Amino acid sequence: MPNFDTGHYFLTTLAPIKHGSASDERGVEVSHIERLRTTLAILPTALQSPATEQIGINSPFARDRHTHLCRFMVLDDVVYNGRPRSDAIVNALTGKDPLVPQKVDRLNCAYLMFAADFDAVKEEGDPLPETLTPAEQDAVRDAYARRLWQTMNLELREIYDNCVGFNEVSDADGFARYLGRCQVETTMPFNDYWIRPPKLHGLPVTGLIALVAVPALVTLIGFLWWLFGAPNSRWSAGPARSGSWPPLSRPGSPIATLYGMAIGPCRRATMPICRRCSSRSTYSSTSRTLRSRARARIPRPCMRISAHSSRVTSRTTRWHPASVRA
Amino acid sequence: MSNIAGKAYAMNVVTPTKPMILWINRLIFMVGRGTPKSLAGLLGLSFIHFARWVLVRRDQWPDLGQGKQDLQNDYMIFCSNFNGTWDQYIDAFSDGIPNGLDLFWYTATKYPNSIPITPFKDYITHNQIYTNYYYNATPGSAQRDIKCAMRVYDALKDLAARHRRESPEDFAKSYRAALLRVQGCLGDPGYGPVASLDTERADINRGPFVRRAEETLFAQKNRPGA
Repeated sequence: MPNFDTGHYFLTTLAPIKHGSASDERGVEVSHIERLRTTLAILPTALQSPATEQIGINSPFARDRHTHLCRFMVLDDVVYNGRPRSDAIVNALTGKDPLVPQKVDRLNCAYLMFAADFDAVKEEGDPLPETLTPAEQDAVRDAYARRLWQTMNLELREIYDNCVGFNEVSDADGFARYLGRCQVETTMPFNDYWIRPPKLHGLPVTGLIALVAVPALVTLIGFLWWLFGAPNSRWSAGPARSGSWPPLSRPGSPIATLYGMAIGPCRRATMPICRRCSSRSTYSSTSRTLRSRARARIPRPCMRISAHSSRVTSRTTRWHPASVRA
Repeated sequence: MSNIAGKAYAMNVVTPTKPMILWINRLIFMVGRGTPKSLAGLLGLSFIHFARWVLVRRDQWPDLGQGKQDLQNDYMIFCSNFNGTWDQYIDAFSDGIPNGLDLFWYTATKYPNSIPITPFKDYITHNQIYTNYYYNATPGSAQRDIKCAMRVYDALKDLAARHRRESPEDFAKSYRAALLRVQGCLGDPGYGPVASLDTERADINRGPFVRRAEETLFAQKNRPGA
């Protein structure tokens, strides 16, 4: 749970804002969003400028000493960045009409975001913890919500009175439960209050690459060996006589690989069946014999056997390596 | 309404993401948290107090009885607290850690990348939501002032411990050494430079309304039974 990071809690809550209207402090009927905006606009800030010091009223958040920074933001709706572009070729193929409007996201209500960065301690004076379990993190959040309620519940009522579900809140525990219901998890917290450069460990990129690359390389070499290196490989393609095929088509070349993988099974299926052994007389099964015949300048018996029709097959099926040797 | 509190600026950016690829961004954040060296660029900027990225899936928008949201996209909410102006911040991000920035918004719809900077600034401007209320506990201090104050605090704690066990002569030496060490941290925090005349005018104009609201609240507080 990344709500916690190096002793600080990153609280993010989204409270749905009510529809409808209510009376403001002047007795004028205004929408809840409008009333909420006005309440936030006149909530005292910290004494942060000559003008605010002149007002002389400090922020209610200053009553609790654990809040570093916090903010309220009214999110009327999600942001729309325009229509995603579409591919003209895909549209042409699928018949998709780019003029048809796409759906635009709209929230069914506005949200009040409250985001606070505070010390992850339960009690005043506790040291900042280095680690917290998820249950402890929730306890820290609830303790913070209770402290807020104890120190500024009137202001919180003014604000959250415009939000859905706040009617059930009547005390500090209820407010802690309410914030818990509105919470969304912070995915990636970041803070930079390090007084000394922290020891940062990085990704062992070289080791990870080696971890993946070495087994992949061994597998690739093994596969290629199985494909072309072994004398009786079933995928071996191309003729035994060197020079009869273009260089790129020779056994071991990329074209031969593709050929072997794509055509090999079909070719094997069209091989004639030997009458003696009832097996298909494939090129690979006879490659050793063929090579020895080539060395002895003996004509090969069935070089184009896979390309032959049934007529050719009937003429060549009588051949068998054993008989040749005999 | 102001994005500025003292020397800090609050930025909120909401960006949509296609749900099918949100996991990539979550994975990037996981790697970022698991290998903090990848965040060294952010630390090197030294003007960010706190920042956060929040991924909100379509079904994660809190439903307290108003009904579930019917959305096509997931969303990422980015909140930052930094010193300086909006332009300085974006420029520093774009010049300092452009790739890190692009990784964190890797799956954001129509994100133009941080370089070139003009489309990037247009994108942030379009997706930024203004802050309605901003509280800063240390408005007169920039992030580096706060780190300086923590160094002084550490030095004082150490001196207090030495005071108990060292002779006056030794303590004088320790004191001088500590003073030499933290003398650069004894600056005086104060008002930030006026980064926004609008904010300054708003603070002046809000005065009567803030006082009246406070009086109303004070009356509520003192009402019998309150």
